[in-house]
Amino acid sequence: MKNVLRQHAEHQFAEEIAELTKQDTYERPPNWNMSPKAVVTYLMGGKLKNGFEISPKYVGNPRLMEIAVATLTTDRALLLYGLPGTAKSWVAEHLAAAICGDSTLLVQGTAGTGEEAIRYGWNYAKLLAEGPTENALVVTPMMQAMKIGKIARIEELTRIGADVQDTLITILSEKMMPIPELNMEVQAVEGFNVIATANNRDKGVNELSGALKRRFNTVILPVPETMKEEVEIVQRRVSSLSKAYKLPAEAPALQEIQRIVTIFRELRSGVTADGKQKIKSPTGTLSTAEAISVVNNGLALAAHFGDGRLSAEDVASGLVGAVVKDPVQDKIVWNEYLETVLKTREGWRDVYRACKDITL
Amino acid sequence: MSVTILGIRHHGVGSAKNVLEMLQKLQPDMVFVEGPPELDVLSRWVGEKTLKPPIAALCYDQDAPQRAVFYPYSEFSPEWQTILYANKQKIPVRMMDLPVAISWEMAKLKTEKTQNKAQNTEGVGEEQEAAMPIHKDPISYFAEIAGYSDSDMWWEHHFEQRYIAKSAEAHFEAVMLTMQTLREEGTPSVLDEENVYREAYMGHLIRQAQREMYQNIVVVCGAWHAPALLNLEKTEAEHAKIVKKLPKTKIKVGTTWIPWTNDRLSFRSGYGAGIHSPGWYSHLWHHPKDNGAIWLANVARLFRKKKMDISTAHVIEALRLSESLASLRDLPKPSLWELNEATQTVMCMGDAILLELVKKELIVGHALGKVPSELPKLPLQNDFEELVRKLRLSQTAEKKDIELDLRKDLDLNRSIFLYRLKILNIEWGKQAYARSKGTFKEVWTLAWSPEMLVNLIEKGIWGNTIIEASSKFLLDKAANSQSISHLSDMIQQAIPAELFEAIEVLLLKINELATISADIMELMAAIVPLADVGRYGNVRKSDLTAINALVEGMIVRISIGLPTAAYGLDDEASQKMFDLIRKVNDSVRLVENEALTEMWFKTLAILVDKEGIHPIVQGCTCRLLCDAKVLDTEGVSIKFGLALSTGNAPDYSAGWIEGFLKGSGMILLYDDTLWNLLYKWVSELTDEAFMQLIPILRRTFSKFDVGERRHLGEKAKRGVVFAQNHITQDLENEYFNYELADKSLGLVAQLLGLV
Repeated sequence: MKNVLRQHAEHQFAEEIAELTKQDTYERPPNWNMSPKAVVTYLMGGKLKNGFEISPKYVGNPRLMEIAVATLTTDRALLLYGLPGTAKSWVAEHLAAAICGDSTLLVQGTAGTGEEAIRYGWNYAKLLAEGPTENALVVTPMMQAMKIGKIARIEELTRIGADVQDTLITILSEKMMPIPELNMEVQAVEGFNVIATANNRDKGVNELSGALKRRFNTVILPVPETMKEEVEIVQRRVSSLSKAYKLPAEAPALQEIQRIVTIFRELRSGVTADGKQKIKSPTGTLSTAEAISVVNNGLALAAHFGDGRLSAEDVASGLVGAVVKDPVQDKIVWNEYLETVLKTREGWRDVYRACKDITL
Repeated sequence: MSVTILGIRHHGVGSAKNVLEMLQKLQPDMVFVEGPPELDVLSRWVGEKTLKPPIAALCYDQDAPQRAVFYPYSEFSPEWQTILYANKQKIPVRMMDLPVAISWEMAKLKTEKTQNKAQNTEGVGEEQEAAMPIHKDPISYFAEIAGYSDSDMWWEHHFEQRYIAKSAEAHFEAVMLTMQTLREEGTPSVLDEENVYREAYMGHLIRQAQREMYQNIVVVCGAWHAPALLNLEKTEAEHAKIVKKLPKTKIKVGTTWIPWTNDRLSFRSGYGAGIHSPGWYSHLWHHPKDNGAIWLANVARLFRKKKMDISTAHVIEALRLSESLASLRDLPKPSLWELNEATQTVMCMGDAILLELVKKELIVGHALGKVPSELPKLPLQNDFEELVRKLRLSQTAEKKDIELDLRKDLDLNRSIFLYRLKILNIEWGKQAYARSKGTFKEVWTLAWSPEMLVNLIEKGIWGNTIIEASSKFLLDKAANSQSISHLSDMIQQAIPAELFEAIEVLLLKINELATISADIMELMAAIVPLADVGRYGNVRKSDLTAINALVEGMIVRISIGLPTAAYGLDDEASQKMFDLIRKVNDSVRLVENEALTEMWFKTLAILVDKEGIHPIVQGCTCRLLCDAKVLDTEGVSIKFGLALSTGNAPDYSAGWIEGFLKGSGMILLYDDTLWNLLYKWVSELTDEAFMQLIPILRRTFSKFDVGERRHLGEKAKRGVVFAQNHITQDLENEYFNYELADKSLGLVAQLLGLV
């Protein structure tokens, strides 16, 4: 197991989950590994009664996590909605890991996802040999979750075609999946529920039908609220990632991260950090995840082509690439931002110059 | 002789219910309600059908009405319910707090003192500023221990939302204990210093009532003050000492009721405590037993009214989610927070924007109070009448014209007054056309109607003087506007009305909009009046650097955005763009900032060469660059030649010429190179093309003045001009007298301003 690039949440944080389960005294919903309160603690982090430290998985408003967990205790499914890079899948994975100890019952939604990926498929060799029997069924993660009462996850729900999406309606409202070929059905065991994620920025997504919408409670995960939160997220992820990719560069200075996060936040919110000046926002999402990749990209540049220290030049190319997604509109936005904000800001001369060199 | 102190939260629904229960139980023979004693005269109106909350008791300084303080009441305010109860039972009710007049006097003395100090010890005065500590809300200590992030939420959950019948006594004991603990710990509060005086005065008033032999007194006051009013015997000496120290004052305080609105209940005024959800409180007041079902059903109805599909199933699911959220948070029943979160999650697809609608319509609500017409006059009315008298205007219904000469003070003030009324939508005066020319003359037609008085009273909530009300009213309108042209209209209204504060705010707002606006043409249109104001100082008292900074920022934005904005425009839009570019160019020249000018000309240079720009715009920019000497004659003739070369469609060339020559054709008279190019181009046009282009060319040339046209005609007769010949001919004139010419040169130079 040691050589996998990325471990499942329930393995990586196995110790925390075990400790939480042990300490948890509140009532647990049927088939849940821990109480709703403990799930929230697992996500938000905190200290247990015996002093054991739980690391925060989600940095942000705890009320959102409470809504998400409370939804899963009712029989409605949970839809995590938001911009790309706002930790939707991350939260979904950890929710599943904490609630049922298994985050692997996953259906990846794509434009090509068919009904058989959600309901069931057939093993054609067996089907030909034995005819339609239970043995010839290919059980999907969804069906598996229903059978054993766990949480199933669907990634990028809105990328799945509308007709395929609608197969979920029976599963979510009747809690069962008919198999007409065998004249039987699979009924969901207590503890079964679905967490889906979808992003609201992509063009060409398939809107959920009204009937399906009604089966989901929607929680929108916002971009980080405060500068401090965002810097914390970026720093946490960058240091864990650069370990994983074995980048030889020095750990990035907090100041450089702060500057990147400041630029991202200002452009995203359309107001300068001091709240005094409005600016235009570009078409891209400028999520925290992108800020992380800008820093990583800069670190790689600094390590392999620079002096090993993250400088404004190393960051600039990634920065411009992240901001200017639409060559016409975003260029105006970026140029305005450079000229009216960065140019006059004290101590930011190097960033301005480095970016100016790149801009056409 | 018993005194019962009931600690409440202003506008708290649970507090109101418990207060009523206690009143019925205790059957007092007199009650005190927190509020300045000046308001005593107003209490008798409470209970009249014509006085309908939300309303506010207004205290104002009769000599300076702009100084005012409001005490808003809603139907569910404990204070309101207490006064109502007292009036129904026909027992005396008195207000109890430091009189407004005294607190104003104290504030006055304090500012005088600090001013004196600052004068005496220059430079040391800075310490004074830093001495004011920032306190946190005392209740937040409890809230933090209980794990609440918001102290209001904690109070709400514990004291306002769960009203349990027949436990009022326990409720007030708990409130008292909470506050006592905080005060004994010496927890600082923001108003500490002021509270010493206020509480001493409260005690003083209660003791006075005791001396009048009232037997069973109930005191309803803010919870924080409650512990200070216990043990009145013990504190008597101390309070008396403080009360004696209070300054005497001559400030005369006027009071009256004015209509209030729900959204103004959230303002911090008077009690220093606003509420943000009057609609929700009103719901709690009327439906104390609702577990959220009635509320959510109302929410669903609201959404349906706005054409959104919300089924009963949504309501059920939202209620279930709010209940499981409440149990996750250890609450007995969902509060507004849980209900909102459930609404957002279940009904709005997680989108907070739709929740704004619920906030506006239900959580805040649109209730508007009413006051009887026989109430004392509003200060705004007084100010209005005072001004009418001072400006010698008569309120007659028949139409009457007055001519104002703005160079005279009286007339200028009249004009300002009428413009301010206009801003308040009181169209007493309509501006008529002034026959004599000149900006110092204005003609107004005056016609008064009684509805205008009603209109004026309605505006009372905006301020106590005409200037204040018109300024605030305008700003409120500005806050709701998102259009730059709309806002510059408002600036135009505000300038003759001399509302300088408003102008500054409007400028800021324009700046904000200008920044986020993607409509470059709107920006360009807005810049002209602003640049004028900034350059010529129309706005006399306004900070000019702010305006100039705004204009400069706008020029930068226009320079960056123009090449894209000018791309691919049709004929009509290009004509507009042409005008705008010339106007902006004038503004840039007015501003006289070298860096900006350079940036602007760089942009123009891009336009001249960019593909896909309408020829009229390109011609125009080329001309501007030529006039500014950014392009030298050679450069211009290259551009001119390119534009007129046969590779281009004839109508492109004609458009280009129109852009280049519009306004003045003088350049063709003195620049022979350009003239030759043009001449050649026209002569080489095919007959068909020429017929096609005649209208455009005519449009261009007909705008020149007669003299210019005649000269051009004469020049055209001569055809292509061969420059060298032309010059030598002139110089070799045999009658030319060099001596005389030399003598006149000095004067000519002086006339041209060269010396």
